[in-house]
Parts: sequence; structure tokens; C-alpha cells
Amino acid sequence: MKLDPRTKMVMVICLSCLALIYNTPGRLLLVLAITLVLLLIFRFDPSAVWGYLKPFLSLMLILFVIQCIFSPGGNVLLAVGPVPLVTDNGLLIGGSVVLRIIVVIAAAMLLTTFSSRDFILGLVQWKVPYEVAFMVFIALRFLPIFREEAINVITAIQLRGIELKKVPWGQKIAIYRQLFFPLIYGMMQKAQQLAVSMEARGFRAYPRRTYIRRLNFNLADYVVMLFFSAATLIFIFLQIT
Amino acid sequence: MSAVNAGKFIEEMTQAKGEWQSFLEKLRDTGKTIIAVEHDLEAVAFSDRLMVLEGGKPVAYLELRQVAFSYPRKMKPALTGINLNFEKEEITAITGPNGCGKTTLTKLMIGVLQATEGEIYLAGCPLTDYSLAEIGSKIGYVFQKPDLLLFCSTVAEEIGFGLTNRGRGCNPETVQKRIKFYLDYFELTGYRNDFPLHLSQGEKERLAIAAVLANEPEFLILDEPTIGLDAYRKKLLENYLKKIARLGRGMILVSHDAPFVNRLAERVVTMADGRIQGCNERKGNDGYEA
Repeated sequence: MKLDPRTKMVMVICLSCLALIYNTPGRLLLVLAITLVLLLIFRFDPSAVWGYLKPFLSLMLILFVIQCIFSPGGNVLLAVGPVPLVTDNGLLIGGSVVLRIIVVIAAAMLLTTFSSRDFILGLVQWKVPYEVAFMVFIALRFLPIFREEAINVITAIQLRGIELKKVPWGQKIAIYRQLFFPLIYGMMQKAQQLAVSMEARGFRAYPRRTYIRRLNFNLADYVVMLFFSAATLIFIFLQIT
Repeated sequence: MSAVNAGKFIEEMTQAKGEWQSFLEKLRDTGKTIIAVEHDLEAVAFSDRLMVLEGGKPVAYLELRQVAFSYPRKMKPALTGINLNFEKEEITAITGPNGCGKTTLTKLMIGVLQATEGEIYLAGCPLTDYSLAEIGSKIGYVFQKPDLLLFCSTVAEEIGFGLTNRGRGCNPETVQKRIKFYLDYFELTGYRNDFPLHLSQGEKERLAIAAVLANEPEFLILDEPTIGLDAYRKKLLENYLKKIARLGRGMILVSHDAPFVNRLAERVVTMADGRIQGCNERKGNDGYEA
């Protein structure tokens, strides 16, 4: 299905809003299912979402455990003496937090079904200043670059003959701590190089920008946008009341 | 043979194997050289050097059999039908136009990419049996972009990283000695405490090579090692590579630098469009036999 990038952006916003407003695993699972179906419709392999989720697995696990332990109420499932450790309510809230992250990441994958040029064009046609649109795009672009950079460093370490899996935890933490600063600094250096390269190519040299192409909404775009916005507003209203 | 007899037979064989191994170990302790012909890898696990034979011929150190590779979402394969053998004591150059698959081929050899078809063997075992770190401890790899190899806070740390963190780590004195040697040899002493990514392209290249060489791998793969090096530094690198080649450590050079390749390589493999186009033996190259 061919839709305007702006329509897809509205869909992502709606799905993310629903993920944030819902706090039960059942409803969040439903939003996740809708997101995966949309990814299929736009020819994005839903199984590829797993690859994007992997780096967040440890974060999700930590959040799940924290929510499980610190969410009050419900039946106690595990207790240490008089202190309740895990409750059924905690499990539900922990599960919801994890599902919320998965939905937001999966929904963001819809943004990859069109080109970055269209993304900027879409925002600019919505009267977002070009500088801001470009900044948002660069920020999005840097996330995978940061991930790639981290993977490169891990690969380079292993290629120096260091079996990270077999390294004791103390040494492993020391290695990662040692690498953290260079990794961040390397990224900042890349950002600086990008800024110089943009300036060198005349970024913001003229006050008015022109575009060869323009994005146009068609009937399907209006229908989908209206449907998603209305449905989201209704669901939010129902959830609040 | 009944189940009871089979069990007894296996027990006796295991005992005999243990006795045979301890006999060999005792013999080795006397300083004798032992050449053992064995089909059981477990039994020769303690050997210093292993030569694997197949069909009467020694198995190459690095062997590619009918290797093909395609990048995801690309219609055209990056590599097709690659059959190559690399000996441990040999310097091979891989040349070819941009985009013909040279770097992809080397990345397959170190396990950073996985072949979509065919098999790659390292020292007689499938490459997939090794972890990336095991491959890294055997093969030193210098990326085309040296930035990919540099991740420490200082130049000295970068050279000593592998030595300090590998296995039980080297003794600190040896580490400092080697760091000093490589800093001096690659003329990086003045940058000892500098941040590696602040160096110039040529300096980064020298540092990446020094960091890999400091680990003393059995085999080297250098992807465009002369990029950014001036004539003098190129000569220094060439001399060092000749020196380690004389010590029996082979290497693969991926390079467009024809004079450099001609002076070093014993064999030149030419690639085009993801295939091997030719293999030019240059045995007897007096460049590094002198």
C-alpha cells in the first residue's frame, strides 16, 4: 500500500500514544498486533523488529524487575520474610512496561518504510522549519550509527583475541568502562565532521529552500489519517473516563 | 559384540589412549621431537604443531571451498564460486577494481561475515567452529578503515590492549616492552598519550597495524595497509612485513598499490565482479628472501 510519509508519521504517533496511555498487557498486546500487521502491509518484515529490540533487552529486563518489585498492591507471589517481593500486580505492570517499549520500537519501524528525504520533505510541508526537520532526521540517523559503532568496537575487541564471554565480570566491566568514553567521543567527532561537511555544502546558505519534488495526499491518506486520529482520540477518552 | 563387552572394550581403549598420551608427554619432556600420525584430534591436542592431511596433501591454513556471499536485500551476489587456499608461510596479494569483493572476501575469512554458500576452513577446521576471538588470536586483521580498530583512550593503550586483556594477560613488563617497541618502530612514540581518533589518517593506519602486530598473530590480513602512508613509512611497513614473513608468518594483502604488492607478494590473486579472475604465482620473489 502506497501512503504519504506524513500519513505514516500520524500512524506512528497514534500507535505510540495508545502504547503510552494503555497500562494492561492485554490491550498493549492488541496494539502490538495492529503494529505488526501494519508493518506487514508496508512490506517490512516483522521478524526484523527482533534485531532492533535486542540492544534494549537488558534495559527491558531491568525495568521489568524494578516494576515487579516496587509496584504495590495485588496478591503476593514471592516474599522475603515480611517484605513482599513479587506481586501479581507488579508482574502485570512490569509486563506492560516491556510491551510499551516493544510497541514504540515496532511502530518506529514504520518510519523506515520511506526514505529520509521524504521524511524531511513531509515535515517541511507541515511547516516545520527545515533546520528542525533536518535535526530530527539526523538524531534518528545517529541512533543506528551509534549501535553500529558499538558493534564495531565489540568486533574489534574480539578480533584482538579477547573472548568477552569468558572474561570475568570484573574485568568485563573494566573493559566496557574503558571503552565508554572513546565511543561517545568518537560519536561526537562524527557529529562535528557532519556539521562541517553540511556547512561546506552550503547548508542554510540561502534563507529560502526550494524542492524538486512535492508530496501530495490522496484520498487513502485522508481516510487513514482521519481513522487513526479519531480512533486514538476515542480510545484515549475511554481510557481516561 | 554384546553391550557389556562393548562397554569393556571402550573402557580398555580409553585407558590405553591415556597411557599412550602420558608416554608421549614423558617422551616430549626429554626434549625429543615426536612426529605422530593420528586421526583422533583429542589424542593430538597437546601437540605443538598440527599438520592436517586430506587425500595425501597437507590442508591449507586457510581454505575457501565454493564460497559465495550475498548482502541482504541485494539481488546480485557480492562473491561467487571462490576457491582459494592460503598457506601459513606465504604472502598473497588480492587485487582488483573497487567493489569487486576483496574486502568482503577478507571479512568472510575472519568470520565477521558468514558465507551464504560454501565452506571456509581455518587450520583444517570449519571457520564456524571458532569464535570470533579464537579467529582473532590466530589471524590479525587490519580493517580498510583504521578507525574501526581504534577504541582505546590513548595510543599506548591501543597497542597493549590485546596483550593485557587476552586470556590471563601478558606480564606487565613484557606488555610495556612490546608497546615501546611498536611505538618506536611505527614512529608513534610522540603520540603515546594522544587520543587515537585525533591522529592523522596515516598515523591511524600505522597505529592500527601496530596494535594488530603487537598480538603476534600466526597469520595476517591487511586490507589496504598503505593508504595514507608516505613513501618512507611504506618502506618501514614493507620491511617489517618481510621480517615477519621470514619468521614463517604468512599474510594476505589487499591492495591497489602495485609496486608494494610486487615487492612483497609471492602470489597475486586477481578479482573482478565477485569472482577470481586469475592467480599469478610469483615464487622466488627475491624481495624478501634476501
